[in-house]
Amino acid sequence: MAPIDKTRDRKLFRETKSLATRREEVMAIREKFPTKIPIIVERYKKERYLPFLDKTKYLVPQEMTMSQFATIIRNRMSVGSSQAVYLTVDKRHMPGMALTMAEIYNDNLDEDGFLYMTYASQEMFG
Amino acid sequence: MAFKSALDDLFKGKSLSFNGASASSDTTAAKVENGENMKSKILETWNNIRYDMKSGTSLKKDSPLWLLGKCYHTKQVFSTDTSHNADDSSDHSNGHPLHLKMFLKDLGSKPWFTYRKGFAPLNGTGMKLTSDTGWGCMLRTAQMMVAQSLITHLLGREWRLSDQHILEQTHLHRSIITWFLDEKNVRCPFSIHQLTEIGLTYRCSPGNWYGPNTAAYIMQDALECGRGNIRELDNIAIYIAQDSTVYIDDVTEMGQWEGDANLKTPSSSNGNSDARPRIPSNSKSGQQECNINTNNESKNDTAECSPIKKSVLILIPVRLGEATLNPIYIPCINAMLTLDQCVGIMGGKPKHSLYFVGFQDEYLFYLDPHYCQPADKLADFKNNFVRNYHCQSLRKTHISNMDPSCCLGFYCRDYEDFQSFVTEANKLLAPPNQRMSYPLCLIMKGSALDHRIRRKSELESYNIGPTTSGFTEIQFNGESPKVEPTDEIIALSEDDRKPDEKFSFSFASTKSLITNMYKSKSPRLNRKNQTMEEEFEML
Repeated sequence: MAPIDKTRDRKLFRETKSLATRREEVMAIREKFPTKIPIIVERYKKERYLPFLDKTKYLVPQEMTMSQFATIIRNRMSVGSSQAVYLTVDKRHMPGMALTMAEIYNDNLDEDGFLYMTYASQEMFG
Repeated sequence: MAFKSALDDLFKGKSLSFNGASASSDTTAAKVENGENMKSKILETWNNIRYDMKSGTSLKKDSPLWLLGKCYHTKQVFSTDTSHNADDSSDHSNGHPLHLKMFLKDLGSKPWFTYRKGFAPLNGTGMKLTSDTGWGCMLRTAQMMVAQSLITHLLGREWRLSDQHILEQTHLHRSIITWFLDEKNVRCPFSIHQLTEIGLTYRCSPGNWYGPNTAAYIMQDALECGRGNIRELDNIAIYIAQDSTVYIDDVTEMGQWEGDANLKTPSSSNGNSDARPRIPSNSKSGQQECNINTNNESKNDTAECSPIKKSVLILIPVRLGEATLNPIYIPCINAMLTLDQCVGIMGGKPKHSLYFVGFQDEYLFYLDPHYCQPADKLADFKNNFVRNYHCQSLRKTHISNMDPSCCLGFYCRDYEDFQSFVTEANKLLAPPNQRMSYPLCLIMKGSALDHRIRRKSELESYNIGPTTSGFTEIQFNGESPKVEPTDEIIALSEDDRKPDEKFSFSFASTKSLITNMYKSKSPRLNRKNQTMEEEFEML
């Protein structure tokens, strides 16, 4: 598949802000929206086939399931249904589609309070 | 030549193809026309040297060897197979223990497709490619998996290459191989020409690299296209698990197994999927073979056996880690290869596609397509050529070298076979010792469509409204979800100016609407004074 995005590179969210700033941010947002989960969704740094998302920060309801969230992310990228999109948490495969965001959050919460997710397609072989 | 010594002369098929390669390299100088040609020659030579260097593998004596759901172990008693003793005198693996001989014989019966050169030029690129050296390995790996599925489908898992005494099987096996020859011909539905042609619809042009997911879709389309021309393909279908989720109803529908699902027919396969290979009485007219093993009273009447029940090849593209394979999945991958229905994994080492077929302890066995052979033509395809489509040498790699991107394949002969797959796989999908479930893949009830509708209705019950800080928040209404059987998808906008609207539109307009919404948004004032919350996307 022809790579669509070779040169553009973005700093990871973790690299743009200090731990203290990120913590504050989470504290503030959690206070304001105690029922919502703050998620950072970033492109895998070596991904070349999927576009960047316009937003990296998401606030999602706790009861939203992984499958719903994955659908939203897929739609936002406007990629065809045959394109592989994998949302990974902590270098694992996709979390179970029936899990709620709250469950995933509780299990994988970063030290700064965000849940980090990475999206990637598949590697190519020659 | 130096690398010639690395060649294991014992393996007849390999040395045969190797001679062909060295003969052509003598004429290289005369034939070089441009850089591209040169590059492909160098690549070809390099790949072939590298391929030969890796031959020769040692195995542990007392660990079980697994090959596509079959276990070979030193303590095993092979009472069923009596025929193989007769062939042993001519076998190259003399001196090996019995279980190893059986294992190698099984491995040697797996289809092996490699780079080929000298086929008719491919469409789709400016340069007329006549070889797939350096880029086609993913397609070759996919070919191997589909060919193995077809062999299991038509000849049975117990078929061995050395079983030459049944003429019908030999003929059928030859036919299967010819479907994969690199020729623009309706009798070759899985040729590199056909696959790259289909690849264009997935934005892949010949010469580019392919991913396992794309390769899976290409094979699915190739099978559908080939169906009209080759009768033997009528009762097999390919199911691809998008988002690594297998929906039971979708597979059942694809296999036309609804009858079986509702009314359990008496056991047709008896747990042993290999008991009744679908050998057509006449391989040229596959129409007679439909429902050979579904206990239907109709035998020859095609009208009565419609809808034709199909076997389903389930392909599950996955990504098991970022740059490297996440070690928590190692036991799962091994477990998958022990399932009866497994037809292997199309994956590879990074940038290097391989067809994984089995394992011993932490080493995976594979068939490697990175070896260039001259392309064969359908018209003068001789019976002994099929030897070049099987690899007699064993290769292994440590499982941690495996690239996380791969595609698992499972061949389910009928509903019962599928049910046993679901039961067995479900026990093995989740990595052990994890707090939560990050399974290799998911097997879910219902169909993908149900889930999409459910998602839509659930999303509709989220109320989109403004918040005090000026951005859109979505709250749960608490209404009972409305299920509408429409093909609609919800997009959630953070557009501040339409806070109370629910956005629901058809898939075709999704993209343009989203684009318009972002365009129409007025530039925000006081950017510096924005609170950090506004950076969040509310869902």
